[in-house]
Parts: sequence; structure tokens; C-alpha cells
Amino acid sequence: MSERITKLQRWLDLIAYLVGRRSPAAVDDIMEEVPAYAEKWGTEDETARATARRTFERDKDELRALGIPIETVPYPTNYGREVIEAYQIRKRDFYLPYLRVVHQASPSGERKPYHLEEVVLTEEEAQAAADALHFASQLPSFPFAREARSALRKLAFDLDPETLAPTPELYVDRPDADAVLERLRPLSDALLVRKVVRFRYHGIYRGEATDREVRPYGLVFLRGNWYLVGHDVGRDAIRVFRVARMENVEVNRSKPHTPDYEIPEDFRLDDYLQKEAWELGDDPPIRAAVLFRFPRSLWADRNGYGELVEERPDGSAVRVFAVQQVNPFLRWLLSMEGEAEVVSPAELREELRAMAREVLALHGGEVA
Amino acid sequence: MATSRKTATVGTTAAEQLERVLYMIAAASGKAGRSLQELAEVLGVTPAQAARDLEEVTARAYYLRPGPIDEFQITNDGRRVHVWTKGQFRRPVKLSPLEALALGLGLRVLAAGAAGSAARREELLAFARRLERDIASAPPQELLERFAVDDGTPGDGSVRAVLRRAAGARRRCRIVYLSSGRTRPEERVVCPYVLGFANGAWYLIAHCTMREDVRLFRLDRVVEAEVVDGTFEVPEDFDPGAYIAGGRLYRAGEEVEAVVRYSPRIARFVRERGPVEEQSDGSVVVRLRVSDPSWLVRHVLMHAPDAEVVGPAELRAAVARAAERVLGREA
Repeated sequence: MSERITKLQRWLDLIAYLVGRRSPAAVDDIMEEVPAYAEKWGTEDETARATARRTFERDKDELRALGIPIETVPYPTNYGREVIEAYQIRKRDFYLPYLRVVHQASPSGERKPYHLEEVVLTEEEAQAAADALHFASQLPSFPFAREARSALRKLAFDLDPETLAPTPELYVDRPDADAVLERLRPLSDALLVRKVVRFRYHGIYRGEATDREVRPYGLVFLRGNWYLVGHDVGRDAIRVFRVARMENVEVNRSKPHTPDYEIPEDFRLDDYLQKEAWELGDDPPIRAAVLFRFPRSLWADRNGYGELVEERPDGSAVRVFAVQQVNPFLRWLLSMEGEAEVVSPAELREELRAMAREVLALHGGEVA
Repeated sequence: MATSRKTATVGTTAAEQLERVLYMIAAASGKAGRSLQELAEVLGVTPAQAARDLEEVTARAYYLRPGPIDEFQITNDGRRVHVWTKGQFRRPVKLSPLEALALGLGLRVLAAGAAGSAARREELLAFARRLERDIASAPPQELLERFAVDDGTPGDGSVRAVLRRAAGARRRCRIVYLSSGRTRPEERVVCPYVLGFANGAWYLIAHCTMREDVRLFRLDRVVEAEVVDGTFEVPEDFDPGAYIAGGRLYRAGEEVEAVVRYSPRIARFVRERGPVEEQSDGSVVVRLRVSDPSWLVRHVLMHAPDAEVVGPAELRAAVARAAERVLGREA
């Protein structure tokens, strides 16, 4: 048995008091009826009363942030001569509406305790919602996997488990998934309330570590990696950072409830989707033409790499790329073991060959 | 499919507790109640934690005055939980903003991968907006602008869509596959068991009717896929987990151990991915299980010039030959 009222009890008392009331509750009533506040509110001590009042304000804000729809309503009192601040939680805003797949019967009896709306889904829609949540709960290092699972639990309340069964897909965590999640949590916290972050960044190609101060604009999961897109204060430009290459991520702690910055209206995070590593750099783009031999050409076409400019009679094809980061582009071409060849520019072609010579030398081959 | 090694983090923050308690009260408020074990499993916590959460709802010192929540009677005999209330909390609450974000992101990923069909994509997006409006406490529009997910589906997504539907419905498929090192694409008829995403790439684990065995296919190398006549059953002893090790998907069985050295420049990232042997010059050595030599060659080339196969000799030679091919010198 607890010696004091815990936060959970305080919250539950407050919510239970406010849900489904016939009339909104005035602040004074809340302070008198909810035990955790009443304890201090009922004294003569003004400081204690002020503390109780502040606790209520904080609880209200925290619960609202969690999605508990505490509504502030002006409430006329004293025969309409005075309007006071009052609160309520409407049932229809609070409870999940009844979900039903089109051919299923509506829930009844104890399965339908309140008068709420019904949301009817097609079987395909119910499956899509389940797939979406299964996906989010398995997405490697996703900071809100727990929320995805709890959302799925809520849908499972009404919907048939068979409808909610996952499609046969599995997502394999990388061994560094926990280390990445550890950095993603403060980054996503900062992003949600728009606070500046500081971290040490290890740029892999330049081989140097730098300290960065960034205003987070968004987090993107791309090709198995999480990236932070944000305004790099030191460079006064938008930059993309791979989360796995960050160290000592710190969120600005001053004024935690006040955002540090605004995100420009014209910023679109979706612009960073469907990009390859060589498209995420900040170098001015180089136009590179690459010859894909047959059947690699089929593969490049199937996966939509670059833009097709020439198809040759032997089945090979030339495709052009806008390269903003040369190193990952060349390593990608290198991994095709000669099935892809840089046509132009000549310097890039030579760089790829130099890379191949380096690998050859490392592996005991004869470098001519 | 819960084969990733991720487990639900046992949270004890008030927010997490509130979420669990509101769920348990709703779930156990019928006449039949619910088993504690089942509640704990669904919530991803231990039965002891679930019991502690419930106890905390009403247990207060006798001298404290009762609150609205004391009108609830919760009984837990260690096996079954019953909640008696005529009042509130007999229904789950609407999705929180972060739950709605998870749902919204997932639905947008599905829409993005809607097999090149603009109509299907629009349909899914419209459904996402409708659901967010109806079942979330607040539409997560602003949050959805802050997070974006590209699930790495190669190409326009149509191949994955076909295989994923076929795997769900247990239908055979004809695929056109570009095996590594082959000069022509090959046709195969496969029974698609499961699709898997590992290390940034999609794979298909399927029974290949030609090889009469389970094989792994990289989805980016499946040029075409279509459902053909015939259904199949997945053997009971099939375990996709057997194909996962060290964050990779591969066919275990005939692996060799490759010893790879990574330069000091990238050593810090390699250390986070598993056990390494530290070298005096700051580089690290990793022992990798390799079932497909061409995977290792690609892996080393992708990390060039910061990765070197130390042994065995034939894999070192394979990397050297690959580099020679890039230089136009066929070995």
C-alpha cells in the first residue's frame, strides 16, 4: 500500500473525474474532489494551495500531450453573471469509436458500454491498418515502436485477430540497432519540441570528427539507416547526418517548454525520401554517365537507377546520375565488379580505377 | 512476424503505466475478466509488472481520502483479473498522438509502395486521413511532417507487392531472377514463404522448385514476378529465424569463416556491429560467417579501401579478381 498518492493515481483520479460529466468541472471543484490536490488545497497554507494548483496545471498539460482530450470550457455561474474556467473530457473525444469490418455484426451488450460512433472498415482497410502498425513496430530502431504496439492492441479490441494477422514480412535489426536507438530518442524528443541538439559527428569519407549544433527539421529512415535532416548552425545550411555516426547527442536543456526555432514553411521532409547515399551530399552535383553491361542493365532498369540515355544492341545501357557525394557512388559501382563502368567524366572514371587498384594492392594482386 | 530480436522495453514511466492500466481495465471489465498472463503478454511486460500496475490503481493508505478511481473494484487472484465498474474506462481510449504517428507513417509507407498504382496510393492516403480523423485524439499531421520512412522497396514496388500477396495467400510464383555472376536472367517457380528486410535490402525466402530447397533471393535482382497456378503450405519446421545472424539474412549451412580487417578510419562503426579483435594500429578484425562468397566480395568492395580480406586465401583471391574485372583485366 502506497504512503502517498502516485502520479498514476492522480492522473486516473483526474481523468475519471472529468470523463463523461454532465457539466464541466470548475477548477475549485477539481481541487476539492481529486484527493491528491485536495490534500494540500484543503489547508490554510497559501504556499501549499499554490503548489496543488501548479500540480494540477502540470498534470493537465502532460495528459493533453499524451492525447487525453481535456477541454477548457468557459462555464457560466452565479446565474450567468460570471464566467469561470472549467474542464471536461467528452466521451466521444476520449474513447475509441467502435470499429467494425463491413460484414461483421456490430458489437453489443458489455462490448458496447457507451454511446459512441461506429467506424466501418473494409477487410482490406483493416488489413492495411494492421500491416502499417506491424511495420512500425518492427521498423529497426524506430523510437515509437512501443506506441505502434499499443495502437495495434487497441484495434485488436474490436477486430478479429485474423484480420490483424501480419503479412509474412520480417525486419531484421542491425547489430547496432540499440546504439542507434539510444541516439534517436533524444533526437526525436528534440524534434518534437523543436530544441537545438549538439553532437560530435564522424564524417566517414572525410575521416574527421566535428562538433555540430543543429536545429532538427526531421528524421528519415532510408535504406536501413536513420538520418537527421536539419539546419547546421555552424555552416548555416541544411545538412543530412547519419544517426549511427553521431556521438554524445545532447539536447538544449534551457527553457524546455519553449521551442528554439521554427521550421521553414517550404521545408519538405519527403524530398529526402527515395534517395541514395550519393544523393545526400552537399557537394554540387556532378553528372556522371555509367555503362551497365547486360544483364546488369536489366537490373539498373528494374530498380530505377539513374536516367536511361542510351540502349545498345548488345543489351547494355548508359544511364546518367546526379552525384552529390562521389565516394559512396564509386564504392557502389565498384561492388558491381566491372559490370558497371564510368563513361564520363574522365576524372571519375580514373577515380574508380584508382580505387580498384587500391583494393587489388591490398589483396596481393599485381598492380600494373 | 516477431523474429527480430527486439523486445518490448519494460517501461515504468507514468505515461507508460497509464497506457497499460487503461488497456487492462477495458480488457478485463467484462464478466469473464482476463487472465493476468494474457494481459501481460499482450502488453509485453512480466505478469508481476502487470499486477503491480493494477495494484497501484486503487491501493492507497487508509488515511487518504478515496478518489473517483476508488469506485473501481479490481480483483486479481494471480491468474485472472476482473474489473467491476459501471462507470468509465470500459473501452480503450483513442490513439495518442504518437500512436497515430506510428499508424500514419506505416500507412504512408504502404501507400508509397502501392505497386506503381496512383489510384491505389490515393485510396490508401485517403484511408489514412479518415482513420486519423476518426480514431486518433488529434490528427498527427504536424508530426507526420517531421518523420519520413522509405522502406527500401526496390523499383516501383510492383515485384514486392506481388510476392507479398502471394506469400500471404500461399500461392506459387514465377520469377525472373538475375543471379550474381550469370550472363542471363533465369526463370524459376518458387513458393514464397516470407519477405525479409535486412541491412537496407529486401530478400525473399522461398522454396525453389528447381533446386528443391529453400533459397534466398535478393528482391532487387527479381526482375519480374507473377502468380501462377498452384498453392503450397509452409513446412511446420520452417523457421525464418534460422536465416538471421549478426543483422544479416543468409542461408546457413555451408558457411566458411572469413577474416576481414577494417581500417582505423571505419573501426568505430564496425565495433558497434558486433565483436571485433582490436589491432595495435587501431584497425579491427572481424570473423564473418559467409555462405555466399559473392556477398563477401561485394561487402569488401562497398567498404573499399577500408576493408581487407585477411583470409582464407581463396576469398582474398576472389576480391583481387573482382578488382581486376573493374580494371578491365579478366582473370
